[in-house]
Amino acid sequence: MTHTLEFNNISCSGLRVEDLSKSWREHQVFTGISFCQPLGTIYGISGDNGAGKSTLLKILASVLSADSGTISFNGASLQDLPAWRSLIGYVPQELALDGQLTVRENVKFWSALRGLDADIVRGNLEIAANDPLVADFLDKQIRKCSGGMARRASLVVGLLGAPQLLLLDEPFAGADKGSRALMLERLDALRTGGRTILITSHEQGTLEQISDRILYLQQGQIVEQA
Amino acid sequence: MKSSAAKKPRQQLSAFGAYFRHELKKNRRGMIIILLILVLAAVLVVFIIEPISDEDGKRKSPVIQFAFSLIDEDQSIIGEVLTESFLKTKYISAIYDDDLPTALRRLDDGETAMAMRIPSNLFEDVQHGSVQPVDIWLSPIMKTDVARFSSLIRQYALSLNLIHSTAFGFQRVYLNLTGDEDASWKETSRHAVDTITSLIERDSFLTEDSEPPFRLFAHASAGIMILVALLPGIVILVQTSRLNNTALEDRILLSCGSTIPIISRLLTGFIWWLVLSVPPLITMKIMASHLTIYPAAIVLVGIFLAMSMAMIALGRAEIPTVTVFQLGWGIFFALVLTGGILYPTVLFPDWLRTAFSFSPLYYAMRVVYRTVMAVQVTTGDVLLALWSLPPALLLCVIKGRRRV
Repeated sequence: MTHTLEFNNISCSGLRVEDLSKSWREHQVFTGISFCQPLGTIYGISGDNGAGKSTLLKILASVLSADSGTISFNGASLQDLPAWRSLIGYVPQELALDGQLTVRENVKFWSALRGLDADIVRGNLEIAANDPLVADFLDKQIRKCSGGMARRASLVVGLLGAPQLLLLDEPFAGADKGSRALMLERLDALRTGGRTILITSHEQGTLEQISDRILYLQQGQIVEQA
Repeated sequence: MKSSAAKKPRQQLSAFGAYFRHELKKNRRGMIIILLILVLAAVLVVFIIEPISDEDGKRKSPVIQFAFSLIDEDQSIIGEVLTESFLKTKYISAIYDDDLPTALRRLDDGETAMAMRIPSNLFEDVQHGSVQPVDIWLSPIMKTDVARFSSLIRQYALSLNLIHSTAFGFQRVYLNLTGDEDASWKETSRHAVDTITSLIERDSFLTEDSEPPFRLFAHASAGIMILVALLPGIVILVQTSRLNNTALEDRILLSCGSTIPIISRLLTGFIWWLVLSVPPLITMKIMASHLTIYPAAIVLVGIFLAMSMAMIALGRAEIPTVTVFQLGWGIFFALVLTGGILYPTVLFPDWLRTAFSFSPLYYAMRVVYRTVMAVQVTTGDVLLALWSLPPALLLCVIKGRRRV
C-alpha cells in the first residue's frame, strides 16, 4: 500500500521538505512533494530512472534550485546558503574526486578547500589513516582504484567537516560486496551518532537493509512504500 | 543574507590557497617546459642578433623612408639629376638603377616602394616641346606608405609642369648668356628637379602623420606578443568548460563557493601570461634598450584579462563542450584577424579598416606595434586599447559564476 506523505500539522525537527516542485522546461520532474525526516534516521529514496531522485538530492544539496517549495533542517533554512552548506555533506552519483591525486591527497585537498585549520586537516588525515573504509589504499591514486575503493573514498570525502545531514546519491553503485558492507556499517554508525542520512539508490535490497523508511518517487510524487 | 556560518576571511584565504595550489600543480610541468623553451630561445636571440642601437633617439614619429628603382632608358641628364637630388631628401633611403624586370621584382619583394621609368629620348623630346609619359609602378605591399607619397606626386604633378614650363625661359636666358645649349638644358633640368625636391623636403605632411610606417619584423613581433597573451584565455576556457556543471564542480561549490575557482583560474592564467609574455618582452628590452616596454606590457595584461574573463563566461555556456571549444577558437581567430595581427589592416580597404577599428585588439595591436617601433605611446592610447576590459568583466560577473 502507498500513500502521499502529509505532515503540515506535524512538528518536524529534522529535514523538512515542503511543497517542492521542479521542472526542466516543459518536463515536470516533480510537483509539490513534501516529507519530513527526523534527526538521526536514514531515509532511502527509490524510483525508476528519470524519476527525479538525483534532482531532488541536488536541490537538497543546494547545487540546483527548485521552482518552488521550502527546505529546512533542524531550524536552518536552505535560503541561508553558507549556513546550510556547513551542515550538509554531499556525495554525488559521479565520482567527484581528482583522479590524479591519491586518496590521502584528496582528503587533504577537500579538507583544505572547506577552509579547515591546518591542525584539523592533519586530524582528518590521521582519521583517514585509521579508517577501515580507505586505510588500505590511502596512497593509491583514485584513477588506479577499483570502483568500490573509489566509492569508499568518495564517501570519506563527503564526511569531511562532520556534516549533520548526509546526502548520498547512489553511493553503492559499482561497489563490491565487501565495500558495500563496510559502507553500510559506517552509515549505521553515523545514524547511531545522530546524523541524518538521505540515500538514493536503485538497489532496493540494500536500501531496505539500512533505511528506516523508503520514499518512492513516482510520476512526480513521493509515495511511501509499505 | 549574513550568516554566522559564513566562512571567515582567513578560512576563505586558506580555501583559496588550497584551490590555487591544486590548479597550479596541474599546470606546473607545462609551465616549466614552456618557460625553459622560451628562455632558451631568448638567450639564442640575444647572443646571435646584434642589439639595436638608438641612433636617432626616441622620435615622436619616425620619418618615412623608402627606396625606389629608376629605370633610366634615356640615360640622360634627367636620370642623373633625379638621383642626385632625391638622394638628398630625407624620405629616400636608396635609389636603384635597375632594368624593368629587376625593378618589378624588387617591388614584389617589398624592397622598394616605387619604380619609375624614364623613357628613351625623353630629354631630347622635352627640348622640342613634346611630351612622353613617365611610367610609375607602386608597391603592392606597402599600401599605406605608397598612398602617402602617391598623393604627394599627384599634388605636385601640376607644379612640376608649371616649373618645367618656367624652366624653358630659364634655359633661353642661360643659352643667351653662355651660348652652350647642352649646359643650358642640364642646368634647366637640375633647376626644375631641385625646385621640386626642395618643395617635397619642405613639405611636412609626411612627418605629421602619427602612424609609423609598416615594418614586417615589427608587425610580426607585436603580433606574436599579442597571440601569446591571448593563449592563457584558451587554457582558462578548457578548464572552465571541463568543470562546468559536473559533480566535481558541485563539490567545489559546496566546499568553497563559486568565486574562489574563478579568481584562482585567473591567477593561474596570469602565471601562464608571465611565462609566455615576459621572456619576449625582456628580450625586446635587451635587444633595444631605448624601448619603453611598459605600455605594451600593460596592454598585453589587459587583453589577457579581457580574453580570460570572456572565456570564463563562454566556458559556462549551456552547450556541448566541443561546441564551446569551437566557439572559443573561432573567437580567437576572429579577434586575431580583425585586430590586424594576422594581416596588417593596411592591406584591407578603408571601409573594412573602419569596421575592424571596433575590434577589441585593434588598438592593442597599435600600442604594441608602436612600442616595438619606438614611437611614443600616450596614456590615451593605452586606455583606448583597454576598452574591452569593462564589458568582459561585466560578462564574467553575469555569466561566469556558477549559479544554483
